[in-house]
Amino acid sequence: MYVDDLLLTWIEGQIEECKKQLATKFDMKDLGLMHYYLGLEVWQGPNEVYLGQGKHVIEILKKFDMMDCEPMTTPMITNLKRLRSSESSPMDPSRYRQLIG
Amino acid sequence: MGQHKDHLEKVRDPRNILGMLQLIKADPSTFEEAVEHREWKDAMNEEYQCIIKNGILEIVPRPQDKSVVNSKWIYKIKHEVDGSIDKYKERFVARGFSQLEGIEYEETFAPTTRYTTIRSLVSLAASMGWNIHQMHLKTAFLNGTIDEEVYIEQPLGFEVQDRKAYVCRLKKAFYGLKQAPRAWYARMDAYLQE
Repeated sequence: MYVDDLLLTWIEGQIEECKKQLATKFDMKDLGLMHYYLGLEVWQGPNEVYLGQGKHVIEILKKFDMMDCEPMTTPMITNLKRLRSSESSPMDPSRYRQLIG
Repeated sequence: MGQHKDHLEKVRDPRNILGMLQLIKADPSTFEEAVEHREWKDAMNEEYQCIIKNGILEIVPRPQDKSVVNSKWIYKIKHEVDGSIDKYKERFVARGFSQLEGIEYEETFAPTTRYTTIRSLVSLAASMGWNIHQMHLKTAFLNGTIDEEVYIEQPLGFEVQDRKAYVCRLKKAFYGLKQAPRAWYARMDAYLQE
């Protein structure tokens, strides 16, 4: 549960029973199968569950003006050369920490 | 659909900049501004009726030995994706920052979810072959009960006739109260445990 968003999981028939009981006690809105929860995208199929954070990624890219960046399989420079401190000015440390999470 | 497209074209037409300015109405910041408009007046009426109907507060004489928390109407227009108005959303809130610690509230912390918890729930469901369902609780905070005696000013524009000097005694946790999130959590926790 996150403040007023609630997740339930159990055997199918029991879930419906659970929902009914909750609805008698509180004013509730049934959102059906979990699909989007706290920025987490969920796709549930028979015998499979997929998780994604696409919307969250887009929001971060927008925030840091990186919408035009290239997707990479390895998010790291493979032939790293040491930069001299004089070559570039240091980034704002708090902004950097926001960016890397 | 066609209507939607027409609407978007109209909005994007630079010649229609005046129309755009009218489309994006600013949210009123005071009661005096909002009361001039039919839409806001209706919204406030509805909210007030709902508060009274649910017994969230009680109109009582102003207590001599207790402080009374300020209250305020806040307004926010909810827009659709295309910029058209979805609804006029207002809320009557307590200005909890003027509450006194130890008298009008005690503890204010409330637990929240961590991503690891959600992920383990998802993996549990996946391994058991269960589906995960999602529900939303409407006006969750109004479900919490409070132990303290808290008074707030009557909503502006809705003062009871002949009782203008009276105040509201809160019977339930209320928007803006310091203890609202905690009171709600305690209530839900007690229910789920039982």
